[in-house]
Amino acid sequence: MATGAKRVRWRILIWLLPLQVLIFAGFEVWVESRLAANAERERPALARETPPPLDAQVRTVRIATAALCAVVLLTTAFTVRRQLEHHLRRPLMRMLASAEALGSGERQRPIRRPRQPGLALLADALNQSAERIAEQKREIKENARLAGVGQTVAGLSHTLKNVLNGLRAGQFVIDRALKTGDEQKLRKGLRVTRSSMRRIERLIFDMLNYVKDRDPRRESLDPNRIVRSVVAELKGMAKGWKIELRTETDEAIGPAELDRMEIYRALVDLATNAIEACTEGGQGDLVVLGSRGRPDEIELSVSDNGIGMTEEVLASLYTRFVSTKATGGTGLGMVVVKKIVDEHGGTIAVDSAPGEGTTFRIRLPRTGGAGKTAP
Amino acid sequence: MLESKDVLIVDDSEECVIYLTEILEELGCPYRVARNGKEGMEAVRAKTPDLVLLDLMMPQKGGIAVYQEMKKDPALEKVPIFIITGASEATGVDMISGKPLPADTYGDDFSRRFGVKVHGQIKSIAPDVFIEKPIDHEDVMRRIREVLA
Repeated sequence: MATGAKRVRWRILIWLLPLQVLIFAGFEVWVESRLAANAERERPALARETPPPLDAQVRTVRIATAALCAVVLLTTAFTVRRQLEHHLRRPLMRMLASAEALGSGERQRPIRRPRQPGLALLADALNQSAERIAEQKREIKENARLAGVGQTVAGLSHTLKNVLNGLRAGQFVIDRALKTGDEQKLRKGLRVTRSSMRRIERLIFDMLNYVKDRDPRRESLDPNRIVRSVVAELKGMAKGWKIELRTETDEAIGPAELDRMEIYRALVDLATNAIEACTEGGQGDLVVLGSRGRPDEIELSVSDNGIGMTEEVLASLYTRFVSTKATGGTGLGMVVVKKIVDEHGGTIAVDSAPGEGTTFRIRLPRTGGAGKTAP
Repeated sequence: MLESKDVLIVDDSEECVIYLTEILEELGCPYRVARNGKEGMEAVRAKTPDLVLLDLMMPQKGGIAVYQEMKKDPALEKVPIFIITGASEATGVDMISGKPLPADTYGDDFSRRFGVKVHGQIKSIAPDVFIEKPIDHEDVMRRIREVLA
């Protein structure tokens, strides 16, 4: 309402300006004529005195009038500028900002239609384009979703085929063992079957972890405690393979806000991979779990001197359903590890060479970001 | 008849190796096992086998590289190779990246049949025999008998 009243006031002022100029001009003519008449009338009476010359008086009035006209013109120019600003520049700038916001995908609402007919048409055209862009975006998203579903199904079927292959292998070995009465072979067949079943269990667990979308449950803790519990968990496995499992922890690492279970899971996965990397080539004998403290972040590392990875394997490290493990992975382990690190706002880096070994380094911020710091 | 033959298994998967060795034992056929492509090539060069059962995805050296190397070598090019993989003919998915194959490589016989993106150099090579996982042992035994007969 206030802006409406202001707009009306400005409009009246604009229309009154020429009238004002006319009034000033008329006033000047009238003053000049009055001065001239007075001069005529008073000349005999004031003959002894020396009255100011008429020309000087007229000049004064003319200068005053010119000054008034200048003021009026300046006011007009100023008013016109204000009006242009109000009617064109501001709505245009608003539309420009809206169009930019639409283009960058920030804005979802349509552009407000200005009152000016030309600008309103422009706003309509922009809104229509925005609608078309939004529609195309929805189509692209849907296509990507379908492609993702296709990839997941293809990847999952690839993993399941491998698991089924293991089950068939087990069944074939058991059949032959039963035919020949070979107990050792029977055990071998059962071992293969059991391993395939474990793989299905792990696949289900990994899949659930993969699709689970949640913020980490952070608690302030000593990261070395997680490292120690991972070592305790895998000590038996490492011993069985005659592999040394060593820790190289930074005792002054200090506390960090982490999801204990998730980080534990990620480290167990990496350390298990490291042990298996040692057994696969038959050359590795050492797995080291390390930790290091930095001012704003902590670093957890898992190194092995096992088989190492080729560039091809490294390229598909975080690709779903791609596994290069001899014992058969689910193809989701590393994907879940990366997901856990991402959820913590951290980074994961790998350094590996075939025949030399692999080192994974996970860097995690000490706190969950602004507003989530420890009390 | 098969007792005098020599079959080389090149596969890193423990289960698959157990499966294939059982199949060969059932056939009464001697075999050797290599755990990756590098070992496989060493074994092939040490003694030319009568048949190679080759996995595609392996550490050290992949099956495609072994296939290429053997086909380029005049002494080894005649050795029949069975390629064993979990990639389906129908999926058209790149096993390395997990992404769908682009149309141009998909149209290529080798990549289409292997479900693997092939980088230029081995186009238009038809594999000797393509065995899809899960392995059907009766089918594999029949094929081995045919090739080694």
